[in-house]
Amino acid sequence: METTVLLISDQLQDLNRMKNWFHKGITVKGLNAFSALPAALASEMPSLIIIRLREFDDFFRAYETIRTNPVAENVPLIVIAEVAIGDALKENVALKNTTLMGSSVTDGYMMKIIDDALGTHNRE
Amino acid sequence: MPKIIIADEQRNAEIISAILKNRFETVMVANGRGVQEKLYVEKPDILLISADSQMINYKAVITNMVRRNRDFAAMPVLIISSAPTPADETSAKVLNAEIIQRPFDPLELVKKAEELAIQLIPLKDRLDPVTKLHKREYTEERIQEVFPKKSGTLFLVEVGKYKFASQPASEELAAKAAEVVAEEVKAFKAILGVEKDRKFIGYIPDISERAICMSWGKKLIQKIQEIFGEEKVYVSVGFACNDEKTPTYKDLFQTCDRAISLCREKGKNIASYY
Repeated sequence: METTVLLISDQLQDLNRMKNWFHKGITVKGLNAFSALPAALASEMPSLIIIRLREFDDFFRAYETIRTNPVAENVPLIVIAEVAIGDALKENVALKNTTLMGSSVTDGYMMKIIDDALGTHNRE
Repeated sequence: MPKIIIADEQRNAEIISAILKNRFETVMVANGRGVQEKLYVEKPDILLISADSQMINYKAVITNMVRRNRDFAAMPVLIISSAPTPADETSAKVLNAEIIQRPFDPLELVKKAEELAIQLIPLKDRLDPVTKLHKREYTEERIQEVFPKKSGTLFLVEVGKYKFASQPASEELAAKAAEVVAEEVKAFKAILGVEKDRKFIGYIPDISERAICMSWGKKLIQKIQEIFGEEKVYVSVGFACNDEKTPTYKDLFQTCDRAISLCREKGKNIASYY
């Protein structure tokens, strides 16, 4: 079965960087607005969602959209944010099946986290 | 849109505001004095207050500024605490406030705040004036709270009058039939509600046996036929069991709707279980 990953960031440079984390067998779809999320969930049925978070605005609406959608309610979510934002999130909210990563995370470590989330350890 | 004051440290208040802002008008304050000022300026519907911030003595704020003030005494209050002790929970009860532990599930926070907001709607506006049952939208909210936790059966009951009968029933007669149905469904331990046009909705927690449901549905139809005759008014009853085929409330409702559509197709005065 085809594995699809959704990447969400309002900046194209983030999406371009994130796309390098995946090997060829994985379909990667980039969204540069949270508003495109509901349609993307329905059409792509992703196995993993990665969000580059810069502001809280719209993030929780996106989280609610994901976790109340039967297709995506248990899909692993990785949130990449500045340390201060990540710490504030950790202190306040318990996000289901979600991994918080600092924005300075290395590409190599992200690849490992993604492999763990998708269960794909045999990179080409 | 209900207005909510969020009294917490700035970053925390920003997060809470971002979670609630689609459903509430949010006002953020960082200390007790700010709460006092905003209470009068903003006239909020709900107060959400942190028990963790050193800038806020939440017990003093709730006691002195809210509960002892005639204008705000009945205001719903939600306390957010990272480590509520049994003593804090007792205090919350004494202060007539709800408590939620940090870190919290954002969806739970929204749900909790919405529950408090519903309390703002006077009971008389939540009830149908004729049957005194909850209106459909409030009933569905209550069903959706129970639905994921408890198995059960959703039912829809429709009371109508035959349009092409030789002596069609009057509106009064149909309304009377609906009142009888309302009394009958009240006898069942269910979450009940009514929508316009003499339609009832209910969820029976813990019961999903087809035989029990169908027996109740048939008895209800029989009773209406005995009182009002078979030719003037009819009752259709549709049941849908909450199981793996209905992962969401929407699925369950659609299944139940199909069940009642089947009753209409088969000629009314029929109960159907999906």
